[in-house]
Amino acid sequence: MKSDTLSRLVGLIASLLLTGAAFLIFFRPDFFRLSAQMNIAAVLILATVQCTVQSIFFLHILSEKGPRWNLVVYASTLSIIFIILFFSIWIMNNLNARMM
Amino acid sequence: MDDARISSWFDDTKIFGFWVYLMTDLVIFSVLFATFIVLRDNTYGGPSGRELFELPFALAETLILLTSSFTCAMGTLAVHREEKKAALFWFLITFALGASFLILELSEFSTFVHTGASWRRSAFLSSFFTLVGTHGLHICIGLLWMLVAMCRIATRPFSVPGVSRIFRMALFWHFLDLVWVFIFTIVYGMSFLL
Repeated sequence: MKSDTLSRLVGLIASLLLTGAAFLIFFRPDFFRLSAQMNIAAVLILATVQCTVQSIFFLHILSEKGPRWNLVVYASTLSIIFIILFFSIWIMNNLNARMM
Repeated sequence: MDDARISSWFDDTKIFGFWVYLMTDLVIFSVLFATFIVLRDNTYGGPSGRELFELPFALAETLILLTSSFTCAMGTLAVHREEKKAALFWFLITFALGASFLILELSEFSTFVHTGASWRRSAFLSSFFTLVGTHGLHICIGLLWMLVAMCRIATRPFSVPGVSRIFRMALFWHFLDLVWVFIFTIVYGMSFLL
């Protein structure tokens, strides 16, 4: 098997394992004996790791030579997304709490 | 990974332009995710995610889309090596997996609507249908694109712009799988943890 086929197979197997771990928590939340909040943190971390794995093995964000324009655009988009998500949730939860 | 040709993809300005488009699409999805997360408890007396979603169904959808992302990557590799038959074989599998994903998603939507849980029922369901429906629409467009790509592979010799077009299609497909990772985690899975 050639090395490029192998790298995609590694991406697939890693994604399958991460998906399996996440669904184990969804099906049986007490499986790892974590608190409810720790479970949520765990599945979010698993999703982030899987996102990174797929970005590397399928989207090849690290294979770029020279100026890494694709990676730069990717990173700046992620920071925009963080701002949108974090502040929307923060502000709206705050409003919800004040309306109670 | 160390394939010199893959790093040469990045010299293609069309692929870079498409990449920038994908990133703006990611912003659209993140806005829809933010809307869903904010509205997920606003069920207005209607069914909640925990009552509505079925985990085995979501798992099946996830495995199908994940496998299709891998077969799509294998198809791109075959295009690299200019092996027409292998490329068609892998893209055909990818198309079949993508189509079965779409059918599963549409049957899920129709079950929800028939049990009275349509997008008009509550803010939670409006945001759910908008987020997952937008992803489904992208899958639909990806499938059409793949169909066109397969016709072109079958009828024409490989050319530099043609190969670049196939790579953009593959990027689009991998990107949709990436978005789905967060849909199954935040929309389906976390309904059973909150």
